[in-house]
Amino acid sequence: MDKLKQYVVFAVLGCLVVLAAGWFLLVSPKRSDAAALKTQTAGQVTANAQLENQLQILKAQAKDLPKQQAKLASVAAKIPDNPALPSMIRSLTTAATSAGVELVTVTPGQPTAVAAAPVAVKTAGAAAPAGASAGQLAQIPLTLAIAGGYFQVEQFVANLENLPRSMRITGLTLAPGANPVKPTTVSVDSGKTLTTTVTGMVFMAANRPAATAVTVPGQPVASTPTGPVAPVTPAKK
Amino acid sequence: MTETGAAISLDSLPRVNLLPPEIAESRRLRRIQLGLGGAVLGAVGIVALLYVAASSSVSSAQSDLDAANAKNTALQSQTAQYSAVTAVYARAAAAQAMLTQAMGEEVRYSQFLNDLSLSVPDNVWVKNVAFAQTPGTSAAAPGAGATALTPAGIGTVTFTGVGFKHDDVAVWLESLASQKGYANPYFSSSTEALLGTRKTVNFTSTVALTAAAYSGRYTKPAGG
Repeated sequence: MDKLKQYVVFAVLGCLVVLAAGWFLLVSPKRSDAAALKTQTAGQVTANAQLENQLQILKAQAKDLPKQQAKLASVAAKIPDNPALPSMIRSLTTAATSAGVELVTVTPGQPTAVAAAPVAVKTAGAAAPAGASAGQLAQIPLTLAIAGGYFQVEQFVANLENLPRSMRITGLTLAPGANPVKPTTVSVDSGKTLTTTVTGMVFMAANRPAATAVTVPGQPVASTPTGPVAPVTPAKK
Repeated sequence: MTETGAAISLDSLPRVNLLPPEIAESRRLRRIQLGLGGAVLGAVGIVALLYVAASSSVSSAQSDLDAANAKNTALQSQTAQYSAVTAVYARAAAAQAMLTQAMGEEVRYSQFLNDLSLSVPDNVWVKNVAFAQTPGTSAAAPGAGATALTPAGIGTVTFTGVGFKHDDVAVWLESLASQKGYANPYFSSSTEALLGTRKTVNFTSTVALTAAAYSGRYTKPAGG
């Protein structure tokens, strides 16, 4: 009977040892591996979901790409990447002719860099990522002397405000005067002709990155226009 | 004796087991040993089953992870194809910010000239006009100018003109005060003089340009 008890005890102990050893040495490590893999998979699935969202946003943005490129082209026309003085002279001449004033003097200054933006910009998206650059903004002071009637001067100023190239007027003086290139017998004090001095500035974007071709899946290759400004015609008021 | 009678008599006969008790005990012990050995084998079987199940779970999780990794690689590849789009958007935003910086303080003086032509009172003639905008004043605090008693403004406009009498200058100042973008109309002199044989008044007045004078064409979210 004692032998039988011994057998039973050994057998029970053996079962327990087999079960414990099997669990701790074989099953449990495998289960840990499986849990770790599932955790990794869950993380990857989350990352994939974020990537899919990002991809959807990018696809939507790609559809809107022509609008962004048009905006870039518009800004490139308003702020060229070089002084573009020839086209500026032609624009001013056209503006003066259109308004009926005599453009007597055009005096540009040297370009000077404009300090970092003091104006808070509210854009639709998040802040521009690092590396996004439109170049260094520089201003070219400009002084214009014109002669013409009051309403002609007003029209000329309106033309300047609507040039495709951005011009910001910072000062304007109107005084009775005469057209220096059109001798007249009318008295200066009649006020028919005003000599007007317009001070302001035009801008350029120095070191603007060159245009690059943009390839978007499923769309034809398009370039990002930032080229020189074409001669412009001021809009009529 | 008939067969029926013999069967009845056998049931009633005493049974005699001639097997030695040691052998019977040995057999019983062997059966128990087999049973206990079977229990141990059963435990091994359970462990094997659990191990197979865990291994299968690992394989399944590994294949899921491989699939997720493959999908991630594919998505990253697709996203990379759109990197140019992101760059264009970033450049457009930077360009718009640059335009806002350049033109944010724009004042449309043509509109002020137009308003001036419509608002000069009777008996007042403006001879000289000078608009002067002070650069970089958009962020200036109110009253941060030379004197805290008057608004700093973003610039000044100086007028010289002629009226028939001093009261005409008063009307002129009231006219200036009622216009958008102007504040604190002031005059520095109003002097009687003769124009031919007619008595007139020469005056010089100033008015401050306020932030309301900004066109806002380049600072509104929709852009200019």
